[in-house]
Amino acid sequence: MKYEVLKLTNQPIFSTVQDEGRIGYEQYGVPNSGAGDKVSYRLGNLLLGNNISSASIEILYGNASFECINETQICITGSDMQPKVNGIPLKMWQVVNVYKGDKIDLSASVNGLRSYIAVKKGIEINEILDSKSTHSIFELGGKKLKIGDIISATSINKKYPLDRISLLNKIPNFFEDQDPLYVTRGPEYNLLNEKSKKVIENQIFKLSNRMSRTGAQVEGNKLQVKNGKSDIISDGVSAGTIQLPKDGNMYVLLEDSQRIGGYARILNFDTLSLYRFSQLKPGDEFKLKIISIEDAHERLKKNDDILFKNNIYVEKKIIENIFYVEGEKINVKIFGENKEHIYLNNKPLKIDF
Amino acid sequence: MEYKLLDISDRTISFNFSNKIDQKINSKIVELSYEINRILDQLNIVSCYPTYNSLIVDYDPLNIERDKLRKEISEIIENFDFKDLNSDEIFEIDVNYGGNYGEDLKSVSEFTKLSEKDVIKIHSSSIYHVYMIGFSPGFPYLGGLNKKLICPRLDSPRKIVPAGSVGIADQQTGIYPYESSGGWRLIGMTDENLFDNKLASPSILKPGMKLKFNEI
Repeated sequence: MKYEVLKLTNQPIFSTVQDEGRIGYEQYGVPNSGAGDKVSYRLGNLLLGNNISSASIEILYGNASFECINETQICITGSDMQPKVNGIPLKMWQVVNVYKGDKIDLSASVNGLRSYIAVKKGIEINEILDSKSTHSIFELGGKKLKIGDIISATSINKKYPLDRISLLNKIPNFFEDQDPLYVTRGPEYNLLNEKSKKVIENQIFKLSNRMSRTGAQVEGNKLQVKNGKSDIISDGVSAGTIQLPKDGNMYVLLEDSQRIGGYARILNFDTLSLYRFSQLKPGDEFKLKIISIEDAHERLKKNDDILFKNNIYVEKKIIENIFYVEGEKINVKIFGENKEHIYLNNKPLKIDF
Repeated sequence: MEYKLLDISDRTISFNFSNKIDQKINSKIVELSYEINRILDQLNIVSCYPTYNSLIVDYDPLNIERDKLRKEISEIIENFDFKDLNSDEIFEIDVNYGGNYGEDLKSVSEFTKLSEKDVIKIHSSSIYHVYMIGFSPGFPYLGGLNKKLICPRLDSPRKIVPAGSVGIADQQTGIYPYESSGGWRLIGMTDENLFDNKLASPSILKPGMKLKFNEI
């Protein structure tokens, strides 16, 4: 059962519906797709009490506006795009009720590339090959979202009380993180000459503006393979694989990439660093640090506990009262981190201080 | 079967059986991939697919230890009863060669020093083997190109290769099911739809199949 919740009221730069991705069709040449920063994407769903792999809207670069068609709850996570509801600033990483007619605006991204709007019960679109994820080039799932598109949730509305909402102990600090991005050695790492291996450990790299959901080119000193031949017999690659094409610039495969590649696979981002990398904008700088597969797995386990297992708690966060004025029932709700949202009879009240 | 274990990432592992393209080895890898896909849940892994020389396995390290995965897959490989699934059935694909349908037929003819007619005749008389599907959904990597037709890739790849294009590059020939960029030399075009996302196995061609092109 579809339940219309949001309508796009401007033309976003690049927004799509994404979920965990299209898994199990690699043997037929189908890319995985799915949310790029899965930490932010999954936390949005968890905070709303959704299935962790429910479909959400992924917004790249920001500047997206929506109108609420029917009451629902949303949670905006990922890069800070300074969201506002009816002009009132809205906290990221927090569940909010939105009501019919509410205007939701996201500005240009401040600190990262991708934001996620999770919707109560998840977004409903037709599944293609077991996934709602969009591959815009091969037109699997939906298409790039455009002005006028209507977003539906998977089930009709019940009233979603805000009296007890889920909150985070710790907001992922991807965006202030000064740590290097961690990589493991790829199958062709040892084709690199010694000078190039040193460059990898010492260089500050920069993300070029040649980037999409398929892949991203990295700028820095050019890397070289020992015998000058960086082509391989086409073989398996994954999101996070750093390939070395002929021109010597590293090329990072991302979530919409194919799973077979023909260039030397020199490095690979570990899972968590891949999510962090997917939040970098063109021009952003980063360093690399090589770790073992075992260390990558340790990091993943530790952070899974910190980010998901021990991170969410439930708190009473709203004041709701019903008054009777001359026999007329008035419902008052006050909520938000700073009690900034006041609703009378489910209609937002704008107060200019 | 001998193989090397290569970590592609912290969640993708490759069982690499060869460093040359070999149809017999590829056929075994394809057979193994079908078996592993059949018991995917039992093995507690995410997915599995074949390439020319490798069996690629995706796993969730929070769900299964790498060592356990390695052991279980190794046991399957060591105890596997290869049946040689290659059937004699040949999938036929009608192709319009040359002209607007295959803009590089001329350059292939020049490079190979064969007439355009001979290029078409040779390309459409071989039986090809589907090694793997990739590059784009349903795109078959075909082996078995006649040595006389070996040509290098284009110096700079085309930004747009139309859907249905039949191309050759090095020792390979293939079909682009989707419009995409691409550096192969285009010699013809087919109307055959090679990918249907409503099917449970959406690629019409599958690794291990045999294929022939017919000139129309």
